[in-house]
Amino acid sequence: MSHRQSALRTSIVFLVLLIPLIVMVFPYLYMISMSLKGDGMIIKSFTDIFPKEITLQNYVDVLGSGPFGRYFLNSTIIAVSVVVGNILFGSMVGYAFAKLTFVGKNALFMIILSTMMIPFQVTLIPLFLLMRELGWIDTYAALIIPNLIAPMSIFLMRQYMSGLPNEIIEAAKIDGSTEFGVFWRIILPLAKPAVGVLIIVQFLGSWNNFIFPLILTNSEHMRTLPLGLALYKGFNSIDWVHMMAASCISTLPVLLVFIIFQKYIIAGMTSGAVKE
Amino acid sequence: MNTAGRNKLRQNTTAYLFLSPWLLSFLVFSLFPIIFSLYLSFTETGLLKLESNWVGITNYLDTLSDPVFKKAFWNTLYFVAVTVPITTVLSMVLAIAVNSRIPGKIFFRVSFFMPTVTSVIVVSMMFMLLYAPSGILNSILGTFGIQKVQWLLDIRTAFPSIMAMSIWTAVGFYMLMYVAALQSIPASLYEAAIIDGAGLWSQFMHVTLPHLRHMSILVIVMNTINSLQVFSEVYVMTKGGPLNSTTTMVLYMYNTAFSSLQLGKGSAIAYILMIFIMLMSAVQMWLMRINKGVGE
Repeated sequence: MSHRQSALRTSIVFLVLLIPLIVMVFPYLYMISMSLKGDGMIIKSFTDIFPKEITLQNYVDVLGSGPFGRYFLNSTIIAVSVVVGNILFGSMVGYAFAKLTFVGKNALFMIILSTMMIPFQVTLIPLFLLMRELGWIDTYAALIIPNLIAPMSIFLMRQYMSGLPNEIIEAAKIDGSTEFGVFWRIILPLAKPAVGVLIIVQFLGSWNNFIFPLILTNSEHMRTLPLGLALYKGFNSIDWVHMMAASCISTLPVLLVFIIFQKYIIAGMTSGAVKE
Repeated sequence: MNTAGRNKLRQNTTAYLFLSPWLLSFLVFSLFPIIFSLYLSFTETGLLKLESNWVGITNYLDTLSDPVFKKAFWNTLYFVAVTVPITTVLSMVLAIAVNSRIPGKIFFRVSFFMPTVTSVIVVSMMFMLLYAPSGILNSILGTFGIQKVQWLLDIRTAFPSIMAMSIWTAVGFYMLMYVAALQSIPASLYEAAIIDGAGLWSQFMHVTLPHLRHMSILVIVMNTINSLQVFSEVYVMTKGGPLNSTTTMVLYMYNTAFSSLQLGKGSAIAYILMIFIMLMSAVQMWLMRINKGVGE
């Protein structure tokens, strides 16, 4: 086989990958280029893809005078709270399933696994009614509290903590540590890699969520970035340069985090599906 | 009570204290909504007051005989029938390409996975820009002398345009699932095949493909479930138009519940959809298990 076969193979592979690569990356480049445009939006030829003069004015517009600064703040508050909740509660419950013995353990774990499979639309209407009864519509609480503990987080933490040796727990207990002390001072610090995956998965999920903010908020100042973006388009459908600047603002932080931590993100996002 | 019993009780109490945040959240935000939704689906409930009249299975009958529901149902099936096979094949091909010994592997993987971490709304915005009447797609086609197409406004192209975007978004994620499966194939199998004189194609047919069967079931089932729930992109890009040609089941449910304010009927639609999703995945797994039996 040689050399010829492997050279053939490499060139086939590059051919197979090159066109998809262009197709995948082009929309992003186009979005960025559009967001930097100071010269209107009409495209007559290929050369108009590139901005003639580069300006950050569109960003200043949407963040300063536009509503996107507020949306950015809302998305951040919600995503950070959801992440903190999932770290704390996800690891607590995961610890119980990994290391504690109690009545109904297997049945409860099956329930967690099955709640991961419930389609979101079944809970949509009752959740809306519940939030309205509680008076939580248009509050951060409605967008944070139901998401503080995702089944996925429990599953992730349980899988990781199961692999930690029991001896350290026993040693700590002999030293007089309480169960919560063991969890908080020993197991949680050891579970840092799983916590990293959890942070990323939950942050992305919360940051990009659309349908729940759509239903659970009314007023403009409570919108999140995806919602603000979708509804911004509603009343100003041809303002491409500002829309693309806003799209970049909501994407670039996530994309940067992704590119830096891509290994963990990919592991985390496929861990629900791929069994080890 | 003896010491052992007391000990056990204490163990259980501690464990349930650890579980309490989840138990509370599960009861209030999962179990209650699921049961309440079933109840609502048998009532007539408006948006303004929480007064419900029991109407039996009227909502289900109304939904099933509604021409818009039928349209939404077939549209959703059409969406699944187009996007799932194309996404599966493309993601498998890309996975094999990305997994081979080439320079810049990570760069390819990261680029293909980017849409998975990008908000659907942002993706929709990017594609609306591409599909705009005076947008880049039309100007590329224009250089070949093809007339302008109103991609999202024309009844013939609106849904296929959204499908293309959806495939673009999903391919990278399923590609990585296939990469994981490919990496679990022992290299010795390929070496043996090469010694037997197998070419690239026959290596693919006899080594790679059989080992990807398990992952393919997972990919197809997951993708079908996701595609049956398509909502955000349609909501943002076409609102179901033109002439309901892009109305999907979840959009129909959303419109019924939150635009027409019929929460009872909306819940019935949600339940119909959930049952349908479960049936589809069961049938798919069953079909693929049969095929597996025939293949061996």
